[in-house]
Amino acid sequence: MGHARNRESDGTIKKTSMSRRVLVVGGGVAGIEMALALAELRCDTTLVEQGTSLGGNAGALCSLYGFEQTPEELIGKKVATMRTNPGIRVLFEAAVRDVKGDVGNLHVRIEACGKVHESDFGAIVVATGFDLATGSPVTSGEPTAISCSELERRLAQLRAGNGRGRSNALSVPRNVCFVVEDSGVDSAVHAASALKNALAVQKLPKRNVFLCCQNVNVAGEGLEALYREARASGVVIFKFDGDKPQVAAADRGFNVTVRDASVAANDRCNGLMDLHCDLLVLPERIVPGPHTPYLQKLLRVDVDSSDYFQQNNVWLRPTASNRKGIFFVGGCRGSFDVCDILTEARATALEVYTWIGRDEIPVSVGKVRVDPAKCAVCLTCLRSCPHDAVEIVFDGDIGGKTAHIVESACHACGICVAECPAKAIQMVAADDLQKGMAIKGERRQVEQWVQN
Amino acid sequence: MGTELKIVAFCCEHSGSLAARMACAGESETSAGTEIVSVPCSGSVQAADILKAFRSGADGVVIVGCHDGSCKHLVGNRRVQRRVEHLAGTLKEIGWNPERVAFFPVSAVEGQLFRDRLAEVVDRLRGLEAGR
Amino acid sequence: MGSTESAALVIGGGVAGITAALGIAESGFAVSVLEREEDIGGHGARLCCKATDVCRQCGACIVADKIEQVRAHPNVSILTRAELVNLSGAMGDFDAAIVRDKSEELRIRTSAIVVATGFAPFDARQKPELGYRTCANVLTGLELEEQIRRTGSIVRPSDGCRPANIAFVQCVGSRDPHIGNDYCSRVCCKYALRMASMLQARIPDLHVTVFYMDVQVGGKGFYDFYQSCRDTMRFVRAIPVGVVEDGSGSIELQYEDTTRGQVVKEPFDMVVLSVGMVPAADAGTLAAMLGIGTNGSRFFASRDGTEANLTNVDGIVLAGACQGPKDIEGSIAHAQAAALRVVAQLGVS
Repeated sequence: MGHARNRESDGTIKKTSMSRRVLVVGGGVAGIEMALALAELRCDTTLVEQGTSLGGNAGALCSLYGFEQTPEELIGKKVATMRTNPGIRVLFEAAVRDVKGDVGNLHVRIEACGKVHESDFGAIVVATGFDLATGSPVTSGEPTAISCSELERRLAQLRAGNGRGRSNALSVPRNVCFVVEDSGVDSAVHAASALKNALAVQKLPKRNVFLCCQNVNVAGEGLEALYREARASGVVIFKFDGDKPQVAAADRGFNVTVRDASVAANDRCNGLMDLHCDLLVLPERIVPGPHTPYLQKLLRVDVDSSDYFQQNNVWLRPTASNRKGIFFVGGCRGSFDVCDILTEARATALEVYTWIGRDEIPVSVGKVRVDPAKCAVCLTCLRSCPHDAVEIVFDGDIGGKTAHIVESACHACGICVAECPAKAIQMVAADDLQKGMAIKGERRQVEQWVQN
Repeated sequence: MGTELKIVAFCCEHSGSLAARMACAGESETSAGTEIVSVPCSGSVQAADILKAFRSGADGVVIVGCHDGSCKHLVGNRRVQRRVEHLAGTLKEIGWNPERVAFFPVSAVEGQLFRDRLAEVVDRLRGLEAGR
Repeated sequence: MGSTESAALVIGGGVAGITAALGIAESGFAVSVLEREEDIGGHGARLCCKATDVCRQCGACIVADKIEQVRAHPNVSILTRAELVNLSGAMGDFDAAIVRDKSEELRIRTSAIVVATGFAPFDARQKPELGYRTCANVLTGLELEEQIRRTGSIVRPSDGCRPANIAFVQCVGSRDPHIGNDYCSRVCCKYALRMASMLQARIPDLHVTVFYMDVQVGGKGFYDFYQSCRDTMRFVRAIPVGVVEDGSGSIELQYEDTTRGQVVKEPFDMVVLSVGMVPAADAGTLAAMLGIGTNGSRFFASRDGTEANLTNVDGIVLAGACQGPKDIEGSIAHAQAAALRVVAQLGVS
């Protein structure tokens, strides 16, 4: 990193050995792609998956727009490639139980199928995905309202030829209405998913499909084409603004009343559209995965205001975290588009490879140094370090505890130096003396236009 | 043209320094009035540094860091702002005008904003009584 | 004629090209970057910071940081005012003929090529009904960015006065089958709303009206920001179909107010056309030179939907907006993924 890297390499250089192993937490599409990309770079990868198979949320989808292959087939191919690669080890029914040590040499304890695995890892990539919340913004409580996921399953069954005639009509009846409200960080993916499924239903014989949404998400690969295809095929799309559609059970189905933004109210009509449907489809809210708070504490990393991983800071984009060597990819960081996730995973694999380097990284010894004699172990530096680079250790020379800077994690920002009440921390390249020299000696002119 | 004011600007190397360079671009070398001290993070600037700047003859000190939410070290900019607020109390106690120290945020590409903010600081300093 | 060797050659010195070069360089390989303009940075280096009291995560400062990094990196050699004129050979042994300053010829032998030639902003003259270049106070989004970057604020071109009332027109040149651009450019909702919000912070009482079809709300933190914009800006779900300029420079936009079912004419001090991204003008020529394909939107074609970097030619990968519209964060991710392909090809120790 330009300046920062030069700054970090001031001071005495020593090589610190680093584990070349990478831990990938989560076996969904993000984790799978990570493992494959890391394998291309000859990194030794352990992938832990809580379930008994790989694929995650994407694997449960029945179709991806624009692809003839199903997600199952696409993922199946990737998994098959993984199996042939000796550099990838997969543990099923696995959970990360403990993480100790410093970045570069994180000692992780994993439990899988009752067995304990302990290993050192140079980098951890969290790819634990998202979760789907039950219940929905437009609650119904009636049996005929289903989720997009359930609709996908029914459509897949129909395609596979299970059931016939009457049960087809029951599972995906003639008049289907989707209602998608903007709800938060997951709004975009719901709109795209609803479009995809609306088109799929419309393509079945004699169906009438309505889609009520606030904003059509077209900012993704192929989505504008999907939108146009859906409209051309006969899906009627209503776009509402502030007034949410009203839904009421009626006639073994639902009445949906929606105010479309392009329909004016006048003295002849009130601008509202009433439609009746046999099946109401509502998206499930996407929420952060259930393991996020646990992993956040274990890994000592930040989350954003919606509780997805990774603080919303432009320096941490796309997939870095506040701790070096720990990365987040995919749904767990709020990224839900499959194509974007694949790209992120590959981008991150290169960052991991660069971080791990060639078995060692140069760290500058004593670049930021705590004087144990002055340290009162007040924990101010530990709390103020944004990069979790401070630990409390026992110092034999003084016979007591002291704060200690973890060199591999330190970014040499100088915040701890400034915060320490006892002035017990010094930074070699920018210490008080040198800053003093800089003030006297450095000549930079900015002034003519300001002072005149 | 009046006495030339001396300002010491502690500039974050990711934002302030780059903005200062952008502000300077195209200007010819003149006698210095503002000295730029590049620091790894605005959060690394200590009260002692600010006081040393005054001791070296500065009339005013500015700390130029990143906008809220874009600090490369996540919270450095907030920390130094709190420090400056606290220092204001100390300065008052020793008889200095706390308005001589200011923090302002810029990003690396806001050369014009850097110039504007610095001009505001100079105007404010000129308005203060000389000496204290 | 000079001839050098480089493990990889990156065509294009915008944020994607720079990111790809850094990724390859950090892995220990020598990279040459070809940039045909005076300096590296591309369009990303023309963008303004959009922070108000908080950073808006637009990425303009990240471009500046990456430019610093790549200039300092010992493994990267940057050739400005340089263009590729011919390519021969195959993966592992390409021969690139380059012209510098329109006169000096040189050759670079390289194993891998990254195409990072970026995009062109949509030429709003293709939508004459929107008044670009015929009305003084109609600007494109990119022109607005440049003005803000240069001066810190905006004034009306016609009289140098501060506007009190601005209209942003979205989807100019995007989602428009009539002109053959049937895709979303992805960046316009974000840049328009961020700039509008920033201008409202700089210019007290500035009225902002956003004419739109759908707001693209994806991306970390953007949905919440968009909700806050709804409190301070007026959103009209219609795209204007005509402009009339009066003697004072005021721009009257004509649009259908669908809530009333009427055609409305409304005056504004300034109109900003949120233009989208189209392929660079000579993308077709470059594609032919390299032997790579273009897709339906005339951007460079990647192999298939799940493979966004590889082309039909082994050893040539795509990075950034030349493959399709992307914002800065997306370009960086895409370019790093391209660098992964190159590093894997060049060999990993």
